[in-house]
Amino acid sequence: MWGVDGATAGPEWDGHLMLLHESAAERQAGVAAWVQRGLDLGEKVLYAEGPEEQEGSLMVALEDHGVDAATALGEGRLTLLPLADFYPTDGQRLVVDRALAEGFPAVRMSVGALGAVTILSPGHHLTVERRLEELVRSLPVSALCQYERSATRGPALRDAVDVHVPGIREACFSTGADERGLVLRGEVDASNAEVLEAAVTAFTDVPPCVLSLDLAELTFVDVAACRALARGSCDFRARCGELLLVAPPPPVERTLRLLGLSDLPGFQLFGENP
Amino acid sequence: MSPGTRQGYRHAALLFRSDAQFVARALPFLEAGLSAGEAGLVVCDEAHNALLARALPDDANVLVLPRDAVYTRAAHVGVTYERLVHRLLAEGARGARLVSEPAYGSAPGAWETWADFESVSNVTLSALRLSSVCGYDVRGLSASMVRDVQRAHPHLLTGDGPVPSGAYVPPADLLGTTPPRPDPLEATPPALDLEGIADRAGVVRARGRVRAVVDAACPDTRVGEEFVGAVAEVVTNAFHYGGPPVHVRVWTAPSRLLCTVTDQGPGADLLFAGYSRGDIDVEPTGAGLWLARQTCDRLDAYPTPGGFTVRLSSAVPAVARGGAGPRAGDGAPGYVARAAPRQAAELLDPVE
Repeated sequence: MWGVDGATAGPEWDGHLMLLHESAAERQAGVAAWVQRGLDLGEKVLYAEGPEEQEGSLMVALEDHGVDAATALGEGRLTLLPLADFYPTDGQRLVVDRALAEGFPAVRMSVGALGAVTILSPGHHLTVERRLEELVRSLPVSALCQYERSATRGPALRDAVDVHVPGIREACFSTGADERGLVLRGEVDASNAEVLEAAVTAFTDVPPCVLSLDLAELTFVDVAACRALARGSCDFRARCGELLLVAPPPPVERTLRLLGLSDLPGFQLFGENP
Repeated sequence: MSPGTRQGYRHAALLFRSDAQFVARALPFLEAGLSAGEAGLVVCDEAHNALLARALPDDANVLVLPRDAVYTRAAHVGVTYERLVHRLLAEGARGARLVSEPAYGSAPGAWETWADFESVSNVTLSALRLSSVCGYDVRGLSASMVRDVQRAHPHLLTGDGPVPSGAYVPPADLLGTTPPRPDPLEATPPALDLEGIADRAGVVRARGRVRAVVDAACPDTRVGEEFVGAVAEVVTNAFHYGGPPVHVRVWTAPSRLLCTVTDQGPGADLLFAGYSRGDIDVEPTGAGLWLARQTCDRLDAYPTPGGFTVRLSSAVPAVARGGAGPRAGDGAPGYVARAAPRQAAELLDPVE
């Protein structure tokens, strides 16, 4: 996750991620942290600038955020690809294999603003996303899929979230996975509750069972966020699934209880690990 | 007040000058309800709880609860009684009769906040099948406080039974015609003054800045966190439903937190709004104001020259308790004044 005022380059930038950005500034801050993380780990960073981006804008943005992009580019640790090379017909596997063959321990790849949506049909785009997911699962690969918030709402948001459930990176809110289940981090209010609802919907789109949401790093929820938790899990709970809300910080726990979330059928609130 | 309380809310004041007078009026009122199949609720100070508990039958239709567990915040009191009455009705009671002695605290403005809620409750609790008698020991009230009580209660419980209160003023007329009194703190320089909040990042930043100022000023983490949450709901409402840019100001005093949130929208009449929660997964709007009312001591909404303003305030407890203040949502009162068949904590609050 990165805040509205900047980002740090930690392990939260590894894996198959969905960078959901509201502005160019947000997007660039996230991309810079993601690139820096790759360079810190000695990975090969592959980047294709989107058709909406000015040529060379990535380099400017990276340097603005303190990433020594010129050196990395000169040493071949960062490579800018033409968009067409990023979407070969046989998928990104070829791109990854080539980079690994150069001796890098891992590869990370991303396409800039609107790239995928512009040159690929929505259906094909989803296929690419699923292939990426497979790559990330089977090879030392990280992928950053960039989505513009205003163009990603309703069904489009649900589709995109569906393939990144534990990898959502939004300015104030992010998800992850641990042994307890889905991890929710950051702050959720009326402005990003839709993202939370999509994540919970996708996470609970399974046969009835017991699932956990780890709330230990969820620092703020408002009414819209509580409603998103309730609605996103509505079908799952109606099918007698049980959703555990685990270890919320005290202010979050109070809000959940005051709003009656813990009284709804199918929810169980645990102050500590169950 | 009619003997039957099976319809809506009946609200009377019992102005008394002695324990004997209090019991002589409260007891027949409760006994009449019990014999009609209604439940009896007693939420008074310890001595009066004990007096009434001894005089009433020891059965499941009588609940005697410690008042400190109920009288936390004005808006929370209404929610507690709603929950209690719904529960008693679900268990078969035909209605409920309450004798209470409100504990309104001694913080500046606490009486005004409580008296206003007494008035508002005539509307916000109107559907509740509760006959409520609020006991006030006039030996401890000023003349203007007695007048406030008489204006807020449609009935007075006298030695001859309930009679209409001649001084009663309907809440819309009592509270809805003038903007609230300026808060003295507003005349001082604010600890935080954020103008021009016009985008989402601004809302998020504002929340962080309010949190920082409140954390620094309020040693009681629970009161502070709740206050920040209340402000956050109001800012969100102002941004989404009012009209940006939003202007947030926070004042901090050793004993109090105050915040105004002003937006450019036309505003709305919120005098009776936000006192009922509804279902979180069904109701599309309104829960934000409800949450805000539950998590601060007082919330006023009124048009101002600069737009529409919501003003929130909370008292800061004198002693830092590290998050253990007896606020809305606190639970586990220490005792039940009689051998009640159920746990007061369970009855009073979902928060353990």
